[in-house]
Amino acid sequence: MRQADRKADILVIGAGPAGLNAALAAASAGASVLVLDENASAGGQYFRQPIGLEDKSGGEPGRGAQTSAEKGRDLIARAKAAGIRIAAHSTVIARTGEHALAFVESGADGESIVEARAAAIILATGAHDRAIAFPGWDLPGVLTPGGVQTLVKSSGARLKGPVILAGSGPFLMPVARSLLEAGTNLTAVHELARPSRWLARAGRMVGHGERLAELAGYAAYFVRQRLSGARLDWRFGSRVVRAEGEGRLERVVVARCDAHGSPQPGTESVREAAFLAVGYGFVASVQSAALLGCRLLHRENAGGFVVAHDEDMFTGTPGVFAAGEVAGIGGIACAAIEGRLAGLCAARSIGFAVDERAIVAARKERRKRRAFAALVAELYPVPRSLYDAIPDDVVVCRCEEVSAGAIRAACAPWIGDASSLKAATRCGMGRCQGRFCGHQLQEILARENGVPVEDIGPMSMRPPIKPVAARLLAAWGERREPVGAASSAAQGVGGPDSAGP
Amino acid sequence: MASEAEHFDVIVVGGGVIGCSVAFYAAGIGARVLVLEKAAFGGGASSANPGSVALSSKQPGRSLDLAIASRILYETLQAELDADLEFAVEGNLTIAETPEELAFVEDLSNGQRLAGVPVRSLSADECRALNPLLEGPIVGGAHCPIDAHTNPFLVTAAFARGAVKRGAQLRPRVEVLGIDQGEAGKLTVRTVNGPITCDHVVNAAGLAAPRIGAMLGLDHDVIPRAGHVAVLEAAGPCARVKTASASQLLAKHGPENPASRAGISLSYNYKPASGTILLGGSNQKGIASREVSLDIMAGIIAGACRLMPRLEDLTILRAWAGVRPYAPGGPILGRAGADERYLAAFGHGGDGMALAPVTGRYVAEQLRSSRELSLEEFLATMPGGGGLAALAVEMNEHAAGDA
Ligand SMILES: Cc1cc2nc3c(=O)[nH]c(=O)nc-3n(C[C@H](O)[C@H](O)[C@H](O)COP(=O)(O)OP(=O)(O)OC[C@H]3O[C@@H](n4cnc5c(N)ncnc54)[C@H](O)[C@@H]3O)c2cc1C
Ligand SMILES: Cc1cc2nc3c(=O)[nH]c(=O)nc-3n(C[C@H](O)[C@H](O)[C@H](O)COP(=O)(O)OP(=O)(O)OC[C@H]3O[C@@H](n4cnc5c(N)ncnc54)[C@H](O)[C@@H]3O)c2cc1C
Repeated sequence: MRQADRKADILVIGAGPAGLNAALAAASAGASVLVLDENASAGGQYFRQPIGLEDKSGGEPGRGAQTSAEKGRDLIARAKAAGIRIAAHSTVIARTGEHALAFVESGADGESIVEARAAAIILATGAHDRAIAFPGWDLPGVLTPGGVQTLVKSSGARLKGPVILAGSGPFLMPVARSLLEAGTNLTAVHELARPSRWLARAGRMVGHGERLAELAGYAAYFVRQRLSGARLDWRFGSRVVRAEGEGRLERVVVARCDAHGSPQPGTESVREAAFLAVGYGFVASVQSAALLGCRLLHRENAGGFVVAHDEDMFTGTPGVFAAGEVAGIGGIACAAIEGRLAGLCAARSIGFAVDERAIVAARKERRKRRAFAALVAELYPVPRSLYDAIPDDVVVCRCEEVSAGAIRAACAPWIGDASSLKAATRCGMGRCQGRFCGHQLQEILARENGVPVEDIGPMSMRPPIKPVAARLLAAWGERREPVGAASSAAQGVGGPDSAGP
Repeated sequence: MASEAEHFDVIVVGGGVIGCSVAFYAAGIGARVLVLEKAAFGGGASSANPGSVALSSKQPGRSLDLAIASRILYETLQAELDADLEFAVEGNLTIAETPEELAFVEDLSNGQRLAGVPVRSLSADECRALNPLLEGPIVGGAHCPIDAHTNPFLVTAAFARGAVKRGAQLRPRVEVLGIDQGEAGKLTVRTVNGPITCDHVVNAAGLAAPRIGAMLGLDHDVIPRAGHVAVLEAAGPCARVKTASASQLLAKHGPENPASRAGISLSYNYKPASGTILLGGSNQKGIASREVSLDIMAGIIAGACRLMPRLEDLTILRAWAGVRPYAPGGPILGRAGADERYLAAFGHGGDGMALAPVTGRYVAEQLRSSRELSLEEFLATMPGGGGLAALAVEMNEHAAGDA
């Protein structure tokens, strides 16, 4: 990337549907936009692009990736045509000043740390799978739905042997479909939620026909698969109890559950599996938001701690907006409209003329999408019993190998927040900085202390939010030390004036 | 309905390592103790330090005397608290990069030797023999084999747990808003949850200690000194000896920071229990921000890599910044001001983790005593430099036994 590329009116973090739509909306208002994404190509979780797609120049992408990747390719092409700069392989790691961020850029000639500055920032960092520990979850062969979908979507990898998909949420359907289309032997799906929840809410589904049609489309697809002889066994109201195997996954024990997600005695059965993907919805990826000091609030069943915002997606931190899953799980259409709204409002906030009617329309559509998202969240609740059920000897923090028992033992009434418990147990201090264990620690502490998770708060998140080679920081330090250090000290932060190689 | 306010013998304001240590020892002499913490226990400076329990970083005099007494207490602290504190005696190596720095280290070491600290002056090669990662330009240094380090989170948590076991009450998220002296014997501590009365109040509010003092009309001087620490994943060969540059001591003791206003210097501390290396540090005088500055973090890494080039191959997991509550004349302890119901336990600057045990003991002794107990008097009852000599002999025998 050229030097001039690091400055823009608006900086977007994350090139998923939210980020790309935000970029397009801001560009349509006349703003220059730079989008950063850590992945090999733009697209985000849903529009993930197969690796090497561009080299194939129109060659056949992986079959499973077709629809969503193509939609994504379309969106990316439109963004590029609008003059939006998209930097892939660019991972945001730290804040360097007001509206200035440092990211690690990896290119043909290695990695380096680069600074990007803008007048406004839009956070569109998405979410990651909510994995909840159970006996055997650390066996090789046990993955998450997002992980397994990435595997088949980006590399077209074909998983050998029987595959089981489990957990809860509407996204199990597209994942199941991707797996079948990629030719894997998907033998069973265990969805913890029950269809009866739908009937109870039928009235509220009126007006969401388009989204319902998408879900119905998946259902029809699976029925067709069944009719054409596929042996996929789709079970509602059941979940994985444990995974077993010598050195890697061989068997999965599943059971029927009561309304609270607890296995019913005598209903356990064993299935053979080479791969198991389990996830209970998503946890918002709020690390970048934490860097910028954004307020987080807890949304049960909709992402855990998410970025707080107003109806224009403004976070309350000057010049910072949020859109998509990071602001609360809502699915792709919701991410797209929130992106658009954030893009328009961010552009307006820095002085670009924006048609007020476009904002009003986007707000209205967003409200509708959110209403549907709230409904979906009710259909697929994450029972807290899943956290209670984690046995004491099961490791919750895989990076630091901290067991549920060790976390529970460290709980005390005077330990009132997630960061204190992290400090006392080291849970969340590893490479992933609590992305996967953070919600589990919060739930355990909330349960032990008998308080809502909201009170427990998120774990502290510290820069660099992704691990960085010391060599890269040393190089940054050598370049900037005397001036940067002195003026930073004076300001208490790495201020904008200290910048500029 | 007007209910009677709760009453305690002692209310400790602030739940950092100092407040928790005071609570533990005060409860140990039978006092009914309440600790009020505005935010989270251990969430202030006490969770921002790398846990060095060193003598070789202290100036001879009161500061070193306190450190010696506390270091001896640390020797038995794990048993006393019935907790693993990841306490490890791996020594400290101070390195000098210039002849001037070496002269400063020599001077400091001489004073420390007079107080009974077993510090040895070393050539550059001897330094490298102790820490082979030191491939950069150094001219010599000094080694103190009985310097130690610990896990700061575990120390604070163990004091807190121990205090609770002894009957103390710990309340997070209760900010102290004011203190009323009244006429009668009782003090009234006003909190966000209403008033509570007590016979004694201990100010262990760290950086906020002046605000608590002001509630009694006292004027305390505590100056913020921010500092950064970066966490590296320890891979490959790691030197166990803690290694600090003389510039760190100059930043700490000198009136001006020599390197830059951020006071960037080297402090390398390998933590075997977690497989990490903690790299410090900075000493940003007058700065109270806990926000990490990428420039300072990178400056620390760059400086460390000049002295220890092989660190370049490691990965940085995270970094944090914390604020040392620095009192210019050293920590303010015991009675301070006319009201003998008020005790001070703050201003430990960059030494609070090391000095927590002795601070708690002293404040508890003062609470027990009906008259003023001077620090000198108290320290005379503690094993002093003589105790250190015994420690050093024990270590030598230990080492000889290993060989
Ligand atoms: C397995 C799976 C299947 C799904 N199926 C469907 C479906 O069928 N229908 C539907 O409506 N929704 C589905 N979803 C949800 C859908 O993926 C999301 O709604 C949508 O992708 C959210 O868009 P987003 O832009 O908010 O986040 P994302 O698409 O997740 O994009 C966020 C991007 O930000 C990047 N990023 C994060 N942090 C940083 C950083 N520090 N530096 C640089 N980049 C960063 C991420 O790598 C990512 O590329 C599915 C999700 C999953 C995981
Ligand atoms: C970067 C860095 C490195 C360091 N390295 C070392 C080292 O290696 N070795 C060493 O010994 N020391 C070191 N220190 C110093 C050590 O961390 C401190 O001296 C020590 O933690 C001070 O403890 P404290 O309990 O006084 O303060 P704190 O831990 O800050 O506790 C004070 C508490 O009081 C609470 N409080 C404030 N106001 C109120 C109120 N109104 N009501 C109720 N509660 C209130 C605060 O919330 C806070 O939790 C270092 C410090 C830093 C920042």
